[in-house]
Amino acid sequence: MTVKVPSPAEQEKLPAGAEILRAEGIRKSYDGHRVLSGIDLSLRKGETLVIMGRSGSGKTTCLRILMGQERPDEGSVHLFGRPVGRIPAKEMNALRRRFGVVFQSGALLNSLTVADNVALPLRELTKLDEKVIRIIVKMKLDQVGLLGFEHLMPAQLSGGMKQRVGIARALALDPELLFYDEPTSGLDPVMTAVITKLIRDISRLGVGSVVVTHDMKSALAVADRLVMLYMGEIVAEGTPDEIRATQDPLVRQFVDGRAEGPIPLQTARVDLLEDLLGGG
Amino acid sequence: MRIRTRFQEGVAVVSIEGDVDMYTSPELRSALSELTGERVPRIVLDLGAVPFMDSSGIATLVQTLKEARPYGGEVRLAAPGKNVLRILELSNLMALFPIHGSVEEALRGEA
Ligand SMILES: Nc1ncnc2c1ncn2[C@@H]1O[C@H](COP(=O)(O)OP(=O)(O)OP(=O)(O)O)[C@@H](O)[C@H]1O
Ligand SMILES: [Mg+2]
Repeated sequence: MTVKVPSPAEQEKLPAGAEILRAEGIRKSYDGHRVLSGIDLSLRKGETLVIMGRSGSGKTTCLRILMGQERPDEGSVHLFGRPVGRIPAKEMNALRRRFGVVFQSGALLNSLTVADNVALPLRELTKLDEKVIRIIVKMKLDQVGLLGFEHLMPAQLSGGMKQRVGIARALALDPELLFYDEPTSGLDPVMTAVITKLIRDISRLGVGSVVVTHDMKSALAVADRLVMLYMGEIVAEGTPDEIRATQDPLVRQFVDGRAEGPIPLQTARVDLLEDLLGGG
Repeated sequence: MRIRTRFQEGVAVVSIEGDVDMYTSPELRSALSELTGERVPRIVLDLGAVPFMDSSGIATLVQTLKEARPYGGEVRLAAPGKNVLRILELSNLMALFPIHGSVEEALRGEA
């Protein structure tokens, strides 16, 4: 049985601005604790959406649901027009080739060289021969400015280099959509700027991007649109200019990076006293 | 994707019809490695009917060139559309291949 999934080529024929991702009414709880309570998002081809929010606000959970790695309790996700979670596994696998994921600090396999890390998705998911794969690996490393580093091991790389190898790997299958989970966390300002520029360059090639980041400067530099998650909801949404200009105190506190403001520092799910006295 | 190869005055003209992507590149690769294996001195790739090519397609062309060069072979591209030209340009590999407007030109032209 063959499953009809539009190939990257067919996708390419979609008009610029075609919707490639849509999430509606996403709700998710863990152990009765509400993490996401009704998230609506959409992304067009070539567009960059930034998701910001405090640590623990549910950004990674949201990404995992968008990628089909996790099921929402309620709501639906459509990737390239197909309903994630409601299509056969085989079709989902075909869909997975059309997007890439960049994790925090690259998430490289430490026992493999740089080249083998980048080659991984090509070896696993295509029938390309080894010589062709090696050329693609060079093309992708060139794209992230790391040509010539093929034979190094991840332990020999700086954080920024690891992150770029992670991006090269995410690009290996020529994805139409990239998910980034805090791509600049732990990097110095210079390296953060390098990664930020790379995200922009990739997006200019027509690749859609969903970027989770804490780094406001980077967020404002890459985004076409930003959303802010707070207490499981999207509390603000806008272009970088709108976000910069907003008077919304929640957003201002985040944009200005201040400790004081409406966002409480306390994130504990339960009260200490209650916990200690509750006899658990 | 469909591949047809014909010979004209010792030149292999490979006409490709359809997208060259991660799924179809292996087929193109085996067609072309057969030609370089036979040390065909000039290969003209007719790309006039290729609406889309991805990195695997580009890499396949590059590998063909790598195999042809040691015996003095040539790989020419004929009639690439704007999508194919764009990805060649984006990969900084434009300079690797002589590019001709048509198969006739590629057959006639000097490299
Ligand atoms: N698999 C899970 N089981 C139970 N709780 C979970 C699970 N995944 C996430 N959570 C909880 O959901 C909440 C949101 O977590 P999530 O990782 O999505 O936040 P985040 O915004 O990505 O945070 P950070 O910025 O620190 O990465 C947290 O309270 C977390 O403990
Ligand atoms: Mg997270």
